[in-house]
Amino acid sequence: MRQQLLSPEFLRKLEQLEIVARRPFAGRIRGEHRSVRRGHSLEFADYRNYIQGDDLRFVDWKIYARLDRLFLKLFMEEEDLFVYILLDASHSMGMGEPLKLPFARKVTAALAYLALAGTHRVSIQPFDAGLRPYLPAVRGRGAFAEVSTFLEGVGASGATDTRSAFADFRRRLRGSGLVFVISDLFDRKGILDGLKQFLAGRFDVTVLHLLSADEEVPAFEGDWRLVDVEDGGEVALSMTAQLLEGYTRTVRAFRGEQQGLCGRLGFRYLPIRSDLSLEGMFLHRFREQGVLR
Amino acid sequence: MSFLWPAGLGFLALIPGILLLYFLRLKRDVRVVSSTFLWRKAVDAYRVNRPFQKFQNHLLLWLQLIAVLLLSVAASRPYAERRQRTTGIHIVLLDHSASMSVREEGGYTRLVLARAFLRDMVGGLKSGERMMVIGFSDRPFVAAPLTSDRAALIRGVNSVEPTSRPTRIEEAWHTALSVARQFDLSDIYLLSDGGFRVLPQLTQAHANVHYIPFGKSRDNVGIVHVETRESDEAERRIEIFARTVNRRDQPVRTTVELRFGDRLVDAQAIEIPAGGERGVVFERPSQEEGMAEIRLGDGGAFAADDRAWIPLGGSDIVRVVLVGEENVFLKQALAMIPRLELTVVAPADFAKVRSKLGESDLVVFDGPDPGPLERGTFLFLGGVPPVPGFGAGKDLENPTLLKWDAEHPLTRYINFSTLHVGKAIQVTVPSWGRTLLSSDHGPIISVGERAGLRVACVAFRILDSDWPMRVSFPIFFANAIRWAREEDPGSGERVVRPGQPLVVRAPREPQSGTILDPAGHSSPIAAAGSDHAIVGDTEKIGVYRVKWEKRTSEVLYAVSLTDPGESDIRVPDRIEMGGTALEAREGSAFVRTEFTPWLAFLGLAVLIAEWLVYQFHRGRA
Repeated sequence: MRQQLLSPEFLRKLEQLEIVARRPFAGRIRGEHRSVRRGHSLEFADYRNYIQGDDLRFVDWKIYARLDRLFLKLFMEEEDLFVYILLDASHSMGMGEPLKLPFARKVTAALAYLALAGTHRVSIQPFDAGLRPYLPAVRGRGAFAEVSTFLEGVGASGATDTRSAFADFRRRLRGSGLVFVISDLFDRKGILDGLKQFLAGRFDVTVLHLLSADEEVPAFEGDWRLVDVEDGGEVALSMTAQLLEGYTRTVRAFRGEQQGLCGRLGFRYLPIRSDLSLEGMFLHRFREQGVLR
Repeated sequence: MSFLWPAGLGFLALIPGILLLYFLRLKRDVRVVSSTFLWRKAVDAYRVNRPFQKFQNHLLLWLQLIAVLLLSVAASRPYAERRQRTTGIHIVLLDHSASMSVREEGGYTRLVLARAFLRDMVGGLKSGERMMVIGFSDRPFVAAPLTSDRAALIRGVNSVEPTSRPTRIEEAWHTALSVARQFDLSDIYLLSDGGFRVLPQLTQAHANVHYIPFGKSRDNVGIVHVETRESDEAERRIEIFARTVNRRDQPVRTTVELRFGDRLVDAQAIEIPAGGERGVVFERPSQEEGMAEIRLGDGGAFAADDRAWIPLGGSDIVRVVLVGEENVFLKQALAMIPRLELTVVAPADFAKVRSKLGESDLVVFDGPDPGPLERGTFLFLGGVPPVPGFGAGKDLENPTLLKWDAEHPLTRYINFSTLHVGKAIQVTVPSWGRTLLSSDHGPIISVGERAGLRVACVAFRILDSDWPMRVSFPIFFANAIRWAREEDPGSGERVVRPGQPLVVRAPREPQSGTILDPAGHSSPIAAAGSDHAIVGDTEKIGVYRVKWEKRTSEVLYAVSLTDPGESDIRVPDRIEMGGTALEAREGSAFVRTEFTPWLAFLGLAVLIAEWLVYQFHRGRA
C-alpha cells in the first residue's frame, strides 16, 4: 500500500527536506534552529545529520566514535509540533483528468512523511461538507504505514462546505501548528469563512489549491450540458474557441482570487495541478517557494 | 438567375428554426464536471460580451445552414438562360384559338402573355436574323412575313387577335414547314397552350422545334356537346342532352340553364367531379321552338364554352304528300309520326298538285314517275328519280343486302340485316349521290342532294319485301321526315363552330335579307340565285338572326364552341411530334441550364459532412 502511494526513492529524497514554519511554535524539537522552549529534552526521537551551527551538546559522540560522522540526537519536547493536513474528499476531488484525489493523497502522504521524518505529530482530516473520520495524530516514521493505509481508505463523496467543515475542525482542535489544506476550493460559498477559523490561534496555514489539467484547459468541443457533480447544477453551453478562452481566463481569475484571499489572511497559497510531477513539486517548487528546505 | 419553382425558397424559413434550436438546444450531451460555477461565470461573461456567440465558428451550425441553403435553392429549381445558338431564321406559330383567351393569374390572357413574349423575341433579334409570324387557330394566317424589319414584326404580332375558334394546327404547321424547307436549317417556335397535343412530323425540312407553352390555369367548366334526341317513351318526346366537363382539381357545383332567348325555361343543379364530366337532360317544352341555349352558371376562366345552342324545329306541322296507289302499310307508318299532315294523291291527279309541291316538306312517290323535278325533297319507293345521273338497270331477284350507312339521317337507328327484298331495280347513283344500303347487285337505298333538290331512292316496292313487318319500317319514315326538315340531331347544320361558314338556306323569293350577329351588328345577305347563302364571319359565339326581305319571321342560327379539346385548357408539358416528345421550354427561347442536380448533390454532401463531424465530436466526447 505504501509502495503504491510513494516510491522508496521519493521517500529517500524527501528525507533530505524539512517543512519550513514561518513562525516559531511551541513544541519544536530540540536541536532545530528555532525554538521557544529550551532545556526540556525528554524523549529521544531520532537522529539527523549535523549541520553547521547546531548545538554541539546534542551531538551523539558515541556514533561519532564509531562512524566518524557527526549526528545530532533529536529529542521530543513535551508539546510536539502538530501538522494538520486537511484533505478535501468531496465529490469534485474524484473528478479531473488526471484524477485529483489520488494526486491529493500522494501530496498528503508526502507532507505527512516530511512531518513524520521531522518528528512532528501528524493528523489527517478528510472533509467534504463536514468532517470525515480522521487520522489521529501519529508520529515517527513508523507511523507512515498507518498514514498510507488511512489515505487509501479516503474516497470522494459529498459536497464541499469549508466553512462548516473547518469550523467543526477548529472546535475539535486545541493548541497550534502547521495546517495544510489540500483542496480544489470548489466551494460555492467561498473559502473565506472557512479559512477565517484559523485566524484565532497560532496556526501556520498553507493552502494547496489543486486543479486538474482539464479543469484549467478543457479539451472538449461541441454542445454540452455540464452537470455539477456535487449539487447537480447544470450549464448548457456550446464550446467555442472564444468560450474556451473566456473559461481559462475565469480559472486564472479564480486562482488569483484565492491567492489574494489567502494573502490577506496571512496564509500561504500554492497552486498545484494533478498532472504535475510529485518530485518536481516537492524537490524544487516547494523549496523555491519556501515551503520546504 | 431565375427560379422555376420560387416557392422552394420557402424552405429557407427553416433557417430561423435551426438557429432557434441552437438557442434552445434542448437535447445536448451531458458531461459531469467537478463544478459548474466557473463555467457559469465564463458563460455569463461570454454572453454579455458576445450575445450571438453561438453563431460564430460553430462548424455544425454552419454546415446545417449551408445544407439548408443549398437544398432550398435546389428545390426552387434555379436556372440560368443564355440565348441559344440560332439559325437566324425564326418561324413563329402563335396560337390565337379560343383557349388562348383564358385569363391567367395576373389577369392577362394567354394570348397577351404570348404576344408580350414574342415582342421580346423580336426585340432580341440580332442583325441579319429574320422572323416570320404565323397566327393560327383552326386555320393559319401570316401575321408577318419573313423579315428582319422589327417594326413590321411588331405590327404583325399585334395583329394576332383573340378568336373563338378551335385549334387546328395542321395547316399552320405545313405553312411553317413550307417556309422552313427553303433554308438549310431554321427554328420553329410554337407559342401555344398546346391544345393540339400532337404535332405532325417534320417532313423535308430541317428545323429546331421549340414548344413554348403559355398558361397554367385549369379553372374551366364547360359544355362540350349538345344534341336533341327522342326519349324512349311512347310519347317520343324530344330531349335536349348536354355534356359538361370540369377541368378543375376540385368537384364543382353549378347550375345548367335551358333558355330560349332571354327566357329561362328550366334549370338544374349539378355536381361535376374533379376532372370528370356530367350529362344533363332537359325535356323539350312542347310549346317551345327556335334556338335553345344551354348555359352554365359557373364556367371558370374560359368563357367561350359556357354557352351552347341547338335548334329546336321550325314548325310543328309536317306536310307530306304521298303520290301513289292505296298502300295501307305506308299510310300507317306515316300516320304514326306526330303532327304530320298527310295528303294522299293518286297518280292520275298528280298534275293538279304539282305546282303546290313547294309547300310540302316531303313528297313520297310510291311507284309513279313524276317527270322532271327542280326543287324540293322527294322520296321514291320502287322507282328511279327522274334526275340526271340516276338511272335504272335490270330487275333484280332476291338481292342480298350487304351493308348500310348507320350515320346518315335516313338510315340511322335501322338494322337492315333481317330485311328480305324479293324484287328490286338496279339503280345507278350519280357521283354527287351516295349509297346508303347496298346489295350484291348495287345500291338499294341511295340519296342525292344538289342545288335545292334532295332525292332519296328506295329501289324496291314496299310490297315486294317483308319490310312492313319489320321495326325498321316506321323508323325509316320517321328518319325521312327529319331528313326532309333538316331536323338532324347530330349534324346540327344550323349550329356551327366559330370560324366555320354558316350555310343559310334561302327561299326561292326573295333572295336577299339581313343577318344580325350576337353583337347586334347587321349585315346584308344574298343567295344570288342559289338555294343558300354563305355567311363567313362567324367569329362571335351566339345566335345569328337571318331575316329575308318581305318575311316577318326570323330564322335563327348559332355559333357554338362545343369542342372537348378546346375546353380542355390544361397546358401539356410536352407535345408529341412524329412519335417523339417535345419538351416545353416554358416561355423561353433560350437555352436553359438548371442547377438543381448540382446544388442538391452539394447539399447532400454538406449534410454527410455535418453528420461525420457530429459523429467525430461524439466519439471525442
